[in-house]
Amino acid sequence: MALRINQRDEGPVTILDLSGKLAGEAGETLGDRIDDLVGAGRSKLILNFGGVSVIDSAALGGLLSKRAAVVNAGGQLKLLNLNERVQDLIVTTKLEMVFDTFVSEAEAVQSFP
Amino acid sequence: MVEESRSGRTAPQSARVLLVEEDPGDVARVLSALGQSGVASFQVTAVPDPAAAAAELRVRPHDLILLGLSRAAGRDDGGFDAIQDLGETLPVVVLGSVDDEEVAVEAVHHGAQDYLVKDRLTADLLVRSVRYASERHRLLAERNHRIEHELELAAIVQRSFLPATVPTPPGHDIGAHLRASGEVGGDFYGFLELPGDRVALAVGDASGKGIPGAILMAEAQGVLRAEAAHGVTPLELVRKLNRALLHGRGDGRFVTLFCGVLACPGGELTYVNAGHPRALLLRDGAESTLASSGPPLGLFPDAAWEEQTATLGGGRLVICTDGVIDAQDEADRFFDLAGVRTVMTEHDDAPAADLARRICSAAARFERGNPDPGDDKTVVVVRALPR
Repeated sequence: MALRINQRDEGPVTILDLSGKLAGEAGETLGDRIDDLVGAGRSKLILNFGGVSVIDSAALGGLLSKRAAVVNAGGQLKLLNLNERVQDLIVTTKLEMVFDTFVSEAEAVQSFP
Repeated sequence: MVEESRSGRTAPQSARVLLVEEDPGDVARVLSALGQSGVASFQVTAVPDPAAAAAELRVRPHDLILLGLSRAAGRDDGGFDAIQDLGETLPVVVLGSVDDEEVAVEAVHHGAQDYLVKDRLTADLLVRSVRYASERHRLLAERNHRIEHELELAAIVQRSFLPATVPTPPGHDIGAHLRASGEVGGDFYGFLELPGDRVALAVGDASGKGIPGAILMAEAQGVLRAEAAHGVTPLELVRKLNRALLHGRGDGRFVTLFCGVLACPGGELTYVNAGHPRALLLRDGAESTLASSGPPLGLFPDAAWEEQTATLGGGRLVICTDGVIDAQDEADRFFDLAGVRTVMTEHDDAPAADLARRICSAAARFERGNPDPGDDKTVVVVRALPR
């Protein structure tokens, strides 16, 4: 199943609800969307992984480089609702030190300065 | 010579055109337009629909297809499917009934070389379109052929990076299998025999598929080979490779690596798992996993890993890449370590190389019903031989 992205705003924070597989070209699609948002001055971003079943290594690497771009633009990139498998990958790759992850959307939104 | 073959002068002066058109009036219009042409001659065969066209193509060669979209259907999706089916080997020019740029663009997206409006056909327009379409199709086929050839060469070079032989240390049987998902990919493995009956082994996966993954994989393997020969520890090896991969980058591409040194005949393994999937050790009916202690390589300059130890002690160790673990069936279930364990249990006495191959094939069979392309699958097995 291809990746679907639904975008919504909570004040200054933009939430991208993702569903499907974050693998192959889908990683680039998401990366382009993040670039567009940062370009438009929206750099407080939450990626809602609620509907994402799997993420591949290329997409994970893409997220890391996009996170750097977001931080350079003075923003933050947070992850919400990771399923057990994606959470396990984040732990295996020790990227929990890099990404702020949340299970509550309200807490994620409030975590931005 | 090459230049000449690319010029328009070599376009067929006498082209065999297959006209797919259900409307007799439109057939007559096209025949008339092509017949009026003074510069080229065409042998036209008219058939009413794509099925008849496919049958005709099986018995007679043609140079180009003129595909008339149905006037009744307007934006005819069935017609677009036909472009894709028929256009795989021959250039297709679509004759549409509506002057709609969107429809025309859609036709081209489906593989058509050109889109002409039936009611505005002139002899010149049609002849020019047919000749240009043939030429464009030929150039595209030439380029695709060149790219395929280069990929085949790259695949040969990449396969040459893998060990031709596998070490046979005392008391242990080592086997490896790599099942590539494309011509080139990011998975790799390697062995090095060290003094004192020790064997260095590594299984890695460079992020990204195709050429980007392959280049990163080649870079990582070069560093590993150079450093492992100096007798460095797994931890030193991981640190050196991390530094090498970080050099001048920061694009988020990385390498996951499981590397270790196996001391034989005792079977003590000293290893570092850097962001790689857990390795599975089955011994005396008990199971343990050898998990990652740090991030993948090429991401963080100040990353830390832990050197850990495990003893094979008569058991079997299986190290896989994520193409095995993450293989998904049509219901999106994962193969996982559970799938690996099942194959290991079913083939208790299998030689290491045989078990490695069986695990790769089982994962590939598992994902057969899934339309998404699978990833490279690599398995390295270390099996302690019965005493």
